[in-house]
Amino acid sequence: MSKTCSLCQRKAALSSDFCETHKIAESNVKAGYKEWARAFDGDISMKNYLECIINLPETGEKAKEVARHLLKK
Amino acid sequence: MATTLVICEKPDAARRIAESLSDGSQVLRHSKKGVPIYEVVRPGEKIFICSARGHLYSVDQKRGATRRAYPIWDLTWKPRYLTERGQERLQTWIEQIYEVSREADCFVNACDYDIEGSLIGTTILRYACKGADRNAKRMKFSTLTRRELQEAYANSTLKLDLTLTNAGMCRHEVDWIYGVNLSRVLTDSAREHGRIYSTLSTGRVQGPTLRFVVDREEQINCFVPVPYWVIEAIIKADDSLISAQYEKERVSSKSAAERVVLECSGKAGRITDVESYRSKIPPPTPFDLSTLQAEAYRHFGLRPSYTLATAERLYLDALISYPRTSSQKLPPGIEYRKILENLSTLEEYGAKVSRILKLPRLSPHEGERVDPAHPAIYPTGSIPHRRLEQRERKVYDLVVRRFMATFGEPAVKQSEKATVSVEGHIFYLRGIRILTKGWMDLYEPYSHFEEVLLPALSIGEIVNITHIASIDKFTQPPPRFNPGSLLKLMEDQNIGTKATRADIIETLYSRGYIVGERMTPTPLALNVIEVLKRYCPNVIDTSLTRELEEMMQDIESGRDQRESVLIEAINHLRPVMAELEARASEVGTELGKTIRETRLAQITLLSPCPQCSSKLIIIRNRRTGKRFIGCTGRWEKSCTFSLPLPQFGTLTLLRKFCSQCGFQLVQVKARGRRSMISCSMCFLKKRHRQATAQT
Repeated sequence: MSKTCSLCQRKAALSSDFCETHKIAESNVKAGYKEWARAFDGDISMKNYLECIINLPETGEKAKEVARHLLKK
Repeated sequence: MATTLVICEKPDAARRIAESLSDGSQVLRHSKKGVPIYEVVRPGEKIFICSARGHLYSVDQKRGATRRAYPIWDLTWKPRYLTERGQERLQTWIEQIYEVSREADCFVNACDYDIEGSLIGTTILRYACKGADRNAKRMKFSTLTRRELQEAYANSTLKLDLTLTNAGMCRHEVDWIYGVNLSRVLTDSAREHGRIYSTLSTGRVQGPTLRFVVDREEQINCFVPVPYWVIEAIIKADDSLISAQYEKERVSSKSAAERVVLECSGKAGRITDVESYRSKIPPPTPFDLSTLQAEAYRHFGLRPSYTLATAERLYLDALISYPRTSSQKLPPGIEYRKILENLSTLEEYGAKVSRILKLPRLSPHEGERVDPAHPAIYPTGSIPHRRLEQRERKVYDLVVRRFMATFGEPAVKQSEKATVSVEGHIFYLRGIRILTKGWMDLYEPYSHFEEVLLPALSIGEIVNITHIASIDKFTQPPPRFNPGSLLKLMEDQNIGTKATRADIIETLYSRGYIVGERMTPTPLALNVIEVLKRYCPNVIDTSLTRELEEMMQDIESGRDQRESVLIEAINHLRPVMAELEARASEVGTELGKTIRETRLAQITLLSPCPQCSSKLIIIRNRRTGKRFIGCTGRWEKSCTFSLPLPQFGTLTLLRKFCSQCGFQLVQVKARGRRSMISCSMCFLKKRHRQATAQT
């Protein structure tokens, strides 16, 4: 039986816990952290970063779902 | 006496052509079973002028197949009253055209000179007039003015434009094959395996267009903002306070931004360079349909389909030229001077037109795009004989002013830039002013330019920073499409035609795939595109649509044959259909689930039940047929909360809330009535108050 996405009921992408869309969101969230760390000269933890992006109106809904999921881990 | 039958595209065009060809003699209007037919008698010639009502013939499957069967590859052209519901009246229309055609010995196609017009006229001549297309003539015109129509009639070509007709036929056939087969397989899969019926449609152009919207939504949904900082500075120079730009538009690190503020705060700077240069802003190009639609959306918020419909009404009144054009050229043959002189009689344009007429040479600033059939959109110079509706007035005014602006001289602007050095940091003071308004004056109020004036500055001058701060910013997600920007993208990607793009966008709305002016795809759209992406990505890929589009353009120019393009299209579609049929169970289950979720979302209120906090939904009583808002907690929590709803019209749950009680608002639309927005909660309270007062 095919695996489903950890965040929605869609089919998970190959070698991922997420569906195609959440996988893109995850990759954006991870890439975003590098940019945030550069912007704050490394003075931001992953936890703070995730909390920040969850509260920003510019952050996409799927990216927020991934951020919440990563925070819970 | 020779008898000629002239076929027009619309009744209004038929009337205008009849009046123009009458040469002052009487125009007889016969209304045969409600079908208007005009009769004009000229020396040695009797002319009957009748019109279509859009397409009278359309593509359909050959006999034998049910309306749900797929795949269907055999098609034929049939009268539209046999293929579409609600078109029964067209039968009388076709019969009356046939009756008149029996008297005629000469036939002229006077439908609009483009693919659709040629197709409408040719199918009527071929099928309703029993093969009259073989020796029919073609009238070619771009405006419905008397002079042009008379010339077009006198110079009718001896043959029909069959390449245009074939291209049109091919487009309809390819679109039918794609639309019907794909829509039927999706709808049937959902019905069979998802156990729910809903008409799901997709098509050759509709699929890729919807994909643009869905892909954009995905980008927005997956977007992660990145912080950056902008240095905001005010510099005092020559007793003026001027906003200054830091050398870097964006500073990507907080510490770097803070350092700039710290080092420059309260410091003086020296002007190291002052530049000033003049440049010309050329006049705009004449309107083709897409630029008219984009401009009308920008200034009036008019959807592209409304702009097209309005422009067509203006064309039928002979106020503007044919709007379905992709040309940005205005040939001298249209007689610029005469048009401008006529426009000068209108009070609002008089003064500006007289300025244009004083120019030594009248030469419009033309764009690159060419349309072999029609020039760009221009006002004919005819004076409106009726009071134009507000929307018509706006579009007409836009077309007239744009036409005038194309004759204007270039505007001249002066840009100034002073470089200020403060503690090793560079700031720029920028100014811009219009020296000569040129065409901008003619295009007002649609031309807008914000001037920023700088005081006289010289190199070596000392200036002071009076304010400096770093502002926190975040990168923004890409914007959602609006009808104007989506239309532009379709045009850039060469999918659809100038005549069909606006309708495709409207279809996306009417099918419930997108909502809002800032287009948001519904869950149904997301799911349909996901299914198509997974099982038949080709169908929603722009490259296939573009390829077919180019092939159809080749038919138009005589380089390709209709049959070969049709075979090519079928060959593309066959494997797709096979794949979808093989996966019907998976596809249907997924679609069925989404349709169910979408329907539930449409009747679920955002405001929770005030008694038990469960979800509230719209319920229809099976016995009485009455509808009301009920609580989903009825069975689990025995909650009996309910609210009344209007019983007539179509209900829509708005994403707006009552300013009095905060409850979600409901909109009711009933035919022939103004839509009404109401709050069920306030209505109930009011009813209670009235009942209490009575007792």
